[in-house]
Amino acid sequence: MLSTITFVALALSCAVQAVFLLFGKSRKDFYSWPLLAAAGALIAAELVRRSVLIGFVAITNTFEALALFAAAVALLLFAWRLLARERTHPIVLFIGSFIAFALFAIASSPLVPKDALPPVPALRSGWLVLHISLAFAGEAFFALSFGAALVFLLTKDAEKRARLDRIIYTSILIGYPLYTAGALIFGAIWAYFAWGSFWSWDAKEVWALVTWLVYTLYLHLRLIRKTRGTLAVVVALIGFPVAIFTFLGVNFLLTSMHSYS
Amino acid sequence: MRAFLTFLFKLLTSVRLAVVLIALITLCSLTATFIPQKQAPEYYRSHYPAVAADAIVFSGYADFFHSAPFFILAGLFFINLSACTVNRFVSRVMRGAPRRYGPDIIHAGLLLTVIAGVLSLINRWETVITLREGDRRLFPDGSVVTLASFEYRRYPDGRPEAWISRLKVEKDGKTTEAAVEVNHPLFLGAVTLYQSSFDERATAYLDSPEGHFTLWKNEAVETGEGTFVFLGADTAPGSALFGLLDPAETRVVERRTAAPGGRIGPLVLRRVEVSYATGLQAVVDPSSWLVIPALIVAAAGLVLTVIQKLKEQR
Repeated sequence: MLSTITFVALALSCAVQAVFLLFGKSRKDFYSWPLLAAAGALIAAELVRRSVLIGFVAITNTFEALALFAAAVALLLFAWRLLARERTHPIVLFIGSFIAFALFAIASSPLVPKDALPPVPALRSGWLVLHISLAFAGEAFFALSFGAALVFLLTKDAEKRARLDRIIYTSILIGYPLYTAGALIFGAIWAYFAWGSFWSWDAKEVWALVTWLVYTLYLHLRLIRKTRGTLAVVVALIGFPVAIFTFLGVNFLLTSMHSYS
Repeated sequence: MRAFLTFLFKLLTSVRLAVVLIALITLCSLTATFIPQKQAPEYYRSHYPAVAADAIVFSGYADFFHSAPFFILAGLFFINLSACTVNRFVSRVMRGAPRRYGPDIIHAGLLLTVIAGVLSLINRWETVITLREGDRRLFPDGSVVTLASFEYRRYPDGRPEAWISRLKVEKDGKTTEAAVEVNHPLFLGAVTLYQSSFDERATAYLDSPEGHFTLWKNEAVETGEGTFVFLGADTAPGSALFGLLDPAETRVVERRTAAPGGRIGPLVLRRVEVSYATGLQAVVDPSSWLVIPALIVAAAGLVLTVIQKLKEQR
């Protein structure tokens, strides 16, 4: 029931934003943001309920991971809108909202089992909780940078581009350390305690490292070579699909030690 | 000679070289994730066209992350990163530039991580020890480890909840008790023990019209109702799981569970006995202590850099 309400809230939020983008450019959208915040809060409530049910933090199967990712994106967009106010480009936030909706739609699809089951021994670890939650927090910022990069490449207006560049840069600058800590550092520590090795060159590890390298490249282009143009933005744009493939593609298409559900 | 050295210095300290190396490592690594690793050459010859199979085997793609091409790329990247780090640090100090050492600390942490990885590659030793209850094993530090018990705990739905090896460790005349679980290794001097696997031995004791007999796990018996294979202990305590094979005896078409006294076709189950062996992975890796400090250094540098950059942006 909670899942259905969440799904409707996310769909409505996207629809309202789309209507304002198409027909109400001069008006302020006061309606879609509470919906987005409500969706994030509902997912959080659902994860808490499942955690109580299974006796462990409920982020150990694909449904829970997708739901957490969707909630992180939704809540980040809400917070960003609240803090940045009218400086935020509405299309960027619409793309972000659509990503949250798409993630939750995949979670709700018949492809993904939804049973709340306690985790297998390898997943019973505090390091795993840090690994997953911080990685998704970082990826939520990458989702925002993806939206801004997409709009940047579609617009010619120099002033708009400067604002979008600032969103891309700031969101990657915050998301990058979160992702580094979650995906790589805590992931390596968890692997050490679970499997006896910090790094095994498993497909998931390689793709996580590549995601990190893409954003490392962006930051080097932006900070050292002072590149503010299309090249750095294209690199930022590539990063998010790579992150999504690391999360979903590796689980469904490649053989990995991380395929638990 | 001087011109060559200048060229070499400029090349090794160039961000462009770093970008090219990152791009190459990325491309080669991603390709490797689509090719099954560490297979025998025959595997590639049976799954790929002959030319592609030969290319995979001879280029080292069959085990890319332990191959010469990977080590060359990683080695060049290490040299490039070291040169850039030293060059950046020295030139900032010489110029009296503002103290922004965040990136230097990140790079130092990364270099330490790579060094730890190389040391691990050279010095790491590991093996899997199989122990049944009462089995003893002498370790290089002089301690003797005995498996006191092994517990396979399941959730009500039959999925594994925990595998716990309870050990007695004797050293210098003292005996201590310790447990090894997944995510909870046992640090025993230079050796670390991880719970890595287990082996289940199950025996079913059955009555047939002809008399008593026993079946080992995966052993089959022909009856008037068909051929049954003993699949092992069931999740319900004391019960056994059997599979009815198809007439060609190639696959299980039906699963049946029997409690003691229960029937499987014309057979009656008397009891099931299960014994376990634990598989402990013993690892000696003298460089593992270096990894966590290296990661902490890199993380500290990253936090410092981000705070600095966010302040600058304001």
